[in-house]
Amino acid sequence: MPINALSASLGYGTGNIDANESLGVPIGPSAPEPGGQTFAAELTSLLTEVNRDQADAATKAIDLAVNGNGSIHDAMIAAEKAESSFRLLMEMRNRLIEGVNRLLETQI
Amino acid sequence: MSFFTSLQVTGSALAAERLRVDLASANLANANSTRSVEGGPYRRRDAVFQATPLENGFGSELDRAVRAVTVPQIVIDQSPPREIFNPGHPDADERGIVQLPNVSVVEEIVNLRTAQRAYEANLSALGVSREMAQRALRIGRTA
Repeated sequence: MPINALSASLGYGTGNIDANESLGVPIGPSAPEPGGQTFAAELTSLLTEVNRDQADAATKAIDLAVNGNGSIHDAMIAAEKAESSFRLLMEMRNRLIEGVNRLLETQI
Repeated sequence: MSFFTSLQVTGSALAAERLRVDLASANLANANSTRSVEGGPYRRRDAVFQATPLENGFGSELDRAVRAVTVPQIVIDQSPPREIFNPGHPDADERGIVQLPNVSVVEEIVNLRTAQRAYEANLSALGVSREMAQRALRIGRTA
């Protein structure tokens, strides 16, 4: 496979569009996925959600400890949710990094 | 994600059982209260549980079948008050009868224990759900 075709199929550069279409699947940062959102947008929304969970857990913990509002299990469940979504995010990130590293190891 | 669904469901159950414990404690605390804001002796309170669909009903058909538990109302026990003869009591009527709350201490202790066990059962369900999620996150790793 010529290099420009490879870079096109990876979505980098402005290379050959035909190479993209010949794969049958649109690949690349700008290619919309069947769901209608790009992977980057999905990742950003996941990040936002994880951040919101963390903030929610912190608010509930402070509310319980300082103001005495809310219940223990509510705060713990919020913390658990925050931890799980963060773990999921880290797992996704690890897989992504692993994939990129494997790509970088590709012999040209 | 269904783990968050079960978190939500278990959270509602924990809150409901917590309320049941609060009510049993209140009933025990007022087991001898001969006066109340409504007039007459204190009457025992009990919670009514109701299975309710989750708030975010946009999931799959199966997700929408899952029910959380809510407490739509707290009912006041209408059974007659206990009556004892104690003419020296300030709330005794002209015959010397004092009306005491319709709270049975033994019954409330049993309710307290049942609520405690139900709380623990829900915590176990949460633990299982959590463990499953964490195992699922380890898919593809060697260990």
